[in-house]
Amino acid sequence: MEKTEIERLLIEIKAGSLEQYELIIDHYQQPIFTYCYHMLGHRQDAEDAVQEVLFRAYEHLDQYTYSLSFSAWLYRIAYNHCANVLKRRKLSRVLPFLYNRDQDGRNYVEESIDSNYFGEPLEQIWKRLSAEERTLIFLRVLEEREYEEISELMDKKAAALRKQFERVLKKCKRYLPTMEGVAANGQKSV
Amino acid sequence: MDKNPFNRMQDMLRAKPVPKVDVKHKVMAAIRAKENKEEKVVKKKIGLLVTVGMLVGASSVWAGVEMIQLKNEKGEVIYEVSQHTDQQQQKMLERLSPEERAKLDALKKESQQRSKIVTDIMNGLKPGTTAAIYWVPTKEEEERYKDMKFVKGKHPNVDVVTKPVEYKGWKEMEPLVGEMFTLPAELEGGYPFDYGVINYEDSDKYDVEAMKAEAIKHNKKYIVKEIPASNKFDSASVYYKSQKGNVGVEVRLLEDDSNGMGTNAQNIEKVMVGKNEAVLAKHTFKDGSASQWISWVKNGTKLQYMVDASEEVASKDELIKIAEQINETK
Repeated sequence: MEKTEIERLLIEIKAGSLEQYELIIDHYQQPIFTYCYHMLGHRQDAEDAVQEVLFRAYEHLDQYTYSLSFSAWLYRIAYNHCANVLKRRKLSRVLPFLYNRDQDGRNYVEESIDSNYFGEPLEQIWKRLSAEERTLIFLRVLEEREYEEISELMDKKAAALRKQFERVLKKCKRYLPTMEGVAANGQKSV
Repeated sequence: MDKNPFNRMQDMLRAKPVPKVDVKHKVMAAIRAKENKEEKVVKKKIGLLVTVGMLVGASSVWAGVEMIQLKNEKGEVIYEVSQHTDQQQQKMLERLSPEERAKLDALKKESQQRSKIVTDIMNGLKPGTTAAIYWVPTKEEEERYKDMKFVKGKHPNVDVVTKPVEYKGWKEMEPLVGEMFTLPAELEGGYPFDYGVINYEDSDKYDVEAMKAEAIKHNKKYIVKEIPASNKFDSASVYYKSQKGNVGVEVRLLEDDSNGMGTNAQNIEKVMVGKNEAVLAKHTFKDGSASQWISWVKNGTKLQYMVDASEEVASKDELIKIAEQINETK
């Protein structure tokens, strides 16, 4: 969908055409879900997240000012949501008695990484990355976005992101398995 | 930079299939549920303070309430008009306990007093200016509103009034609303334009806490502050006049995709205005005189039109002809 088409839809939605928001959902739900899925490593959490992101975006639509792309605005909401979920999981590891189970009885320590989705090597790396670092890897490595574009999404300067990405990649490299299938411990290079 | 970790991370991430997701219905249901909840709260406020005699929202408990649904060309319901006659309302009131009736009477009296004050304040304003009126809440009102959330930031203890500018011809109004719609300079049957007004949505540029503090400080029942007017179009009313009498035309911008209103007219029926479904209502007064109005939503727009006139000014067929003329005016 073209940028102008999205902006036209947003104007109509702001003017009261709620049904047009369905088109926005159709367009963005899969990319935002993909992002949340990689951030959280858990299918149900990612589905909850994309619902929350699209609901919140509608609720706060009057705060969207067109100064950045709508896509970037949605990713920012998604990032904040995922960062909060990850923070909560981290707390659950520190204070397991308080955070081990939520009101639905779900165990976030056990569910933190969906074993059906993330295999061992990736899980080992992913667990060591912050929400911001995961976002950077997702956008740069998987989606192959340019730094300028990531800059808009993450609200950081492109040059700073480039340096940060190099550091994160080095961090990833330490935990990548060798080609022979032996786990690297940080002393071996790949 | 060593490309190897980049490529290997990419391979690992790409190797993980991402499931398909469809949350559209869940998200839309959540949005609609929230909007309906907020709408009900506002209706409750209006019901208690403005139209006390008619318990808005109670329609569902009235058996046999007549409802007309207007559909657009695609067959989608775009507007609903429900009928609550005075007799039905009276029956509803009779079912209330004496205590509830006394409470309603007290509320009605309070509402009438406030309405008079609001009218006086509005009449004292210069055309085009807006004022916010903060009413110091009674203990009962405080209790009633404490858990309520009001749409668009409207405060339960604040009324906003504007004295509209009166325009003497369509040429004066056209620069302001001409992009949305056009109204004729004269209606069929020889009714020239008399005057018109444009109503904007209530401004929310008021400081409740400051007005509250001032009311407490000076021990006032209410505080009035002139505030910046809103420029968000709500509706326009134009009055046409001949020796026979007046014909009123209102054009309103609908907010939601499903809108509705109630009427206490004794007769309502569905008629056609061009290709638009419309409601024609007739209200007969105790002295035998009657007024009629016709309302429709113009196909392909969010504009709701309403034309009203007393029966002695325009018959049913004449009113439909006027409506068709307005609908076709470009």
